[in-house]
Amino acid sequence: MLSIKNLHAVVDGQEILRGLNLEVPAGEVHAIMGPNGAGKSTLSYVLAGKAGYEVTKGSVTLNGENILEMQPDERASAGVFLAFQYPMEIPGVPTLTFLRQALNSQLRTRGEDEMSTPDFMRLIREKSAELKIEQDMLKRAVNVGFSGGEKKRNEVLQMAVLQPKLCVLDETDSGLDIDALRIVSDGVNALRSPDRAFVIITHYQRLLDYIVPDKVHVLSKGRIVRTGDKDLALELEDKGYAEFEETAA
Amino acid sequence: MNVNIKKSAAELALEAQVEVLLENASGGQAQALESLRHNGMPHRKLEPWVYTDLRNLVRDTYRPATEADRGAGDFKIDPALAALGVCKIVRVNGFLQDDLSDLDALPDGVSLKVQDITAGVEVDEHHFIADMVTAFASNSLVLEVAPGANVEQPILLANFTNGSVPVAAYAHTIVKMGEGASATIIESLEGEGDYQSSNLLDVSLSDKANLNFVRWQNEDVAAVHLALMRLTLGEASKWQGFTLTEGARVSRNEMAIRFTAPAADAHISVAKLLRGEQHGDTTIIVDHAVPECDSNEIIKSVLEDKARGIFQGKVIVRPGAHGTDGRQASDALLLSDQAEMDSKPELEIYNDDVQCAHGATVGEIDEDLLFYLRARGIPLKEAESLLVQAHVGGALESIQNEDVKNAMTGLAARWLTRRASS
Ligand SMILES: Nc1ncnc2c1ncn2[C@@H]1O[C@H](COP(=O)(O)OP(=O)(O)O)[C@@H](O)[C@H]1O
Ligand SMILES: [Mg+2]
Repeated sequence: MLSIKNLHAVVDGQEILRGLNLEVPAGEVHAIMGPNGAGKSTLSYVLAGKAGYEVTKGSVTLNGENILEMQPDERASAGVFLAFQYPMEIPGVPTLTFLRQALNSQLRTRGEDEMSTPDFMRLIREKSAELKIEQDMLKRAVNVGFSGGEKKRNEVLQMAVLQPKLCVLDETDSGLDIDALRIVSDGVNALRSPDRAFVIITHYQRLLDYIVPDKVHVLSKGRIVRTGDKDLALELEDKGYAEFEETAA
Repeated sequence: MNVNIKKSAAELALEAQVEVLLENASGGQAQALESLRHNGMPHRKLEPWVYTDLRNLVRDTYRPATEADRGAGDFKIDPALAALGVCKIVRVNGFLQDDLSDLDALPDGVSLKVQDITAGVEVDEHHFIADMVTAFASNSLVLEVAPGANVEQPILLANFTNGSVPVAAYAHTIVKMGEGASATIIESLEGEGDYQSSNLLDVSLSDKANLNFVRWQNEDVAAVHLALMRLTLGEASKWQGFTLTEGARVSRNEMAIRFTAPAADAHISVAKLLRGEQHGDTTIIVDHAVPECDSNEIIKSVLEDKARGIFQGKVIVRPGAHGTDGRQASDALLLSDQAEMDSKPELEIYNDDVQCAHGATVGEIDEDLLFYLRARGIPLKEAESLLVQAHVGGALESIQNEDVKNAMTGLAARWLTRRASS
């Protein structure tokens, strides 16, 4: 599904990703862990196509398609979804309007029919109930006045509505209490399917008790320096990242 | 060194017109003409006109339009407004058109008359726009809402200017809201061609009156539009004003608001959408001379291409005006490097017991917000439109009548569509 080869990326004149390789097959969940400043968020932005994150070498393909050539909205329509570490507040744009426009834009770009209002409302009601999101919250402007946990749940709601192929979650667990963590994890687990892949970026092992990964990678200094199964996360929790910060230097 | 500024073509043409009219003028009209002869055309050396130098911006002073200039144009009410089930009062080139208006179907409590221009204008305060209209308009339209009348049907004051030959149209309107009366009035300003339209509006609210006044300035992009509204508010009266400015090559929309008795409210919001080389000036002067009145100004501008937006706001709080709440906020979104916004919010406070706030922001579309929308699949132009709409929404929110609000939101969205498809 996702294939990253020898990826180099520069931010503000500084090389942050330095020869990153990663293969995530369809149906799998891969966790990426690593110390602060390792380049985890940078990787997520490069995948989503944020301006200022310049790829200088390497390739990224989604089901064989080169996504680096695409605009951010084209990538989204092609199936890339990034759950932001810090979701934006958008004053004046109601959450429902935003979700509807996002979904219909993607459908249109893919040459499919837009969703009717009743079908859309049914979909929203169902998905928001699963994530324990109040209807009232959907009428408010996107993320404005939302708590940290509400913002993260809203990210997962968007993911559930847009049904992407590749879900990249950047520190979705940060700022969540244990109940919210469970709700968000259940939401993510419900989306696991044989034709969908997940990249779960996290600093802590805790989330991986709820969303059990197929593989765990350690990202340090812009490279994947170690790959293992879910037990690697437990080992990292135990020993910390000190070892990688030194060896990768 | 004594520099004599050379008079512009527009000033010379105006002078000539003034001289001709002065021969037979009397009363208020003569006073206005004398004032024009004495003061000439406003220019940037005059504080209130620093940003809108008419001497430079106006190329000519066209001859006053006559009834015959109506021509054969079809003066269609925009479907968005017609759909509101409005009672229409239509003027073309400043002249009331019986055949296009619903004069036989005025809502209960509403009366309309046409009177001589000199009968109803305030002549003591000289102001260029007021003087021009007083000097050149042939009559005044007087709209009265009877005391206690609660008028549900929106009243549309539609103004068209036919500029197929270059003319200057002048319209004077007097709106009197009786005690405790309430109404919604929509004023549309449209036209075709290279013309000048000047509009003087004298509005008075008696005690406890409540007026929603929505204005759509959609003049031809070749036109010059000058408007002055003088508003007086009685005790515990409420003014809820909204203006959508999107037309004219050069426009000046000035409001002078005066509280005459305590506990009144004036809420003024403006959405200004300009592109090309449009120049749009909004000037609002609020005079708090009595206690416990609130004024709140929300100006949302969106400027594209080489458009220039201006907001001058002055809130005066006089010594007796304790308990005043006066707010001004101007926020502009620039959609191009060459667009420009000049904001000058001012407070003149002579009383300690007041709450006043003013602020002005000018910015571009937030790149991070744009990325967030695009990362969800919304294409660039649509994402920009969504953010621009959200910006303008802050002004539209204040329209109380939901249908009218939706209609104006639709008109603002139409401006954005023209942008998205260009
Ligand atoms: N927009 C930016 N401008 C400048 N430096 C940045 C920017 N984003 C990230 N960096 C730098 O890139 C490095 C990696 O950051 P980031 O990807 O956020 O790490 P992580 O998410 O793993 O904590 C850090 O050294 C950070 O300071
Ligand atoms: Mg990060």
